[in-house]
Amino acid sequence: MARKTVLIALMIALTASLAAAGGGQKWLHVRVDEGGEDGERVFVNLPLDLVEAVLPHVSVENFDRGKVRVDIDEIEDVDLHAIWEAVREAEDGEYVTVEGADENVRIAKEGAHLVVRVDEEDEKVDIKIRVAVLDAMMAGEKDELDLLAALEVLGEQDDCELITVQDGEERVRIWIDSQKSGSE
Amino acid sequence: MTRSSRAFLIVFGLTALLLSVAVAAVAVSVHRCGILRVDVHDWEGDGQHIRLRMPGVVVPIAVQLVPDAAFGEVPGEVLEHIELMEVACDALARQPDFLMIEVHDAREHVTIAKQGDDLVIEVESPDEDVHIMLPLSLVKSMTARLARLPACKARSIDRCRDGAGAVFGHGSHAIVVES
Repeated sequence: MARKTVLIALMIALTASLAAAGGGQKWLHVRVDEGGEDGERVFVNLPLDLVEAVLPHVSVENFDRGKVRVDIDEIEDVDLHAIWEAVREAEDGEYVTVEGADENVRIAKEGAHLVVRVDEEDEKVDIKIRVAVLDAMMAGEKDELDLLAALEVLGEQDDCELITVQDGEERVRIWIDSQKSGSE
Repeated sequence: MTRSSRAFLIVFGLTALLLSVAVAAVAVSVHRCGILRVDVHDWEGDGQHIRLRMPGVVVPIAVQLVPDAAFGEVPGEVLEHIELMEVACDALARQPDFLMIEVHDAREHVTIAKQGDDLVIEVESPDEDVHIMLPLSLVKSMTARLARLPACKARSIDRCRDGAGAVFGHGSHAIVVES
């Protein structure tokens, strides 16, 4: 009887540990839906640790070892890191609001998130990124964005929506969760 | 039992043992390297159905025997991404089974998935169906072979000089040189 109880306990412990190991894995999902019956639909599901393993070995133009080198010549007078430092320390609120005839742009800090909303006549863009992720991204050199560090922080966060773009019938969605199938 | 029949039994027993070990070794290798499967079903024309089954263990052995010169001019883009392919194979092998990419439109349905130790690529269209099962170990041994090409080594050394890391493949292992 005691042996049977120990065996059952061991099985439960093993199942729980396997479930915990599987559940800890975060997945990056991308969905592109052109809309309509004949429209193309693309689904991409990638485990974050696969992306983290591969990124340091990708080297193309301005992207090397998981870092994007920002071409400073193009934004000579803009210090991204200084701007971010100021935003991070600031209270919640709207920082940029552009209201035009054709489009509205809103950049705001809402709690632990930086929110960007672009609203055009037939296109809507929503970006919501955690402050901690941006912190990691900006931690490197002045002209660098550390995507790898940002991914590592993203992997430690709860499930979250990153980018949603609605352009007419076309819809693009990028998010992170713990499901490998990324069902919507 | 006579002396000659005892000798015969010993020789027969040893031969049977050696054969069993050899069969077991081949079975283990085939299992480890998987099986490369290609199925192409042509729905148009005469409706050809091509089936290819090849033990993954055959390809690495064959590839090792091919002289460097026979690879000819491997495109620079391929050589540049050898290291990336090796790392991606290793990282993929550690993942659970999952559907990596799915593309669906009015005509075609394409999926790329990781299943067990294989990369499975499926294309379904009104013209033809293609089903490829590619063992990851096979991709890895191919990239390791390409990494040993002189052109690839030279490229890795150049990258090292430029300040980036380099990887030289050695079968399933790799020597990593970090700057």
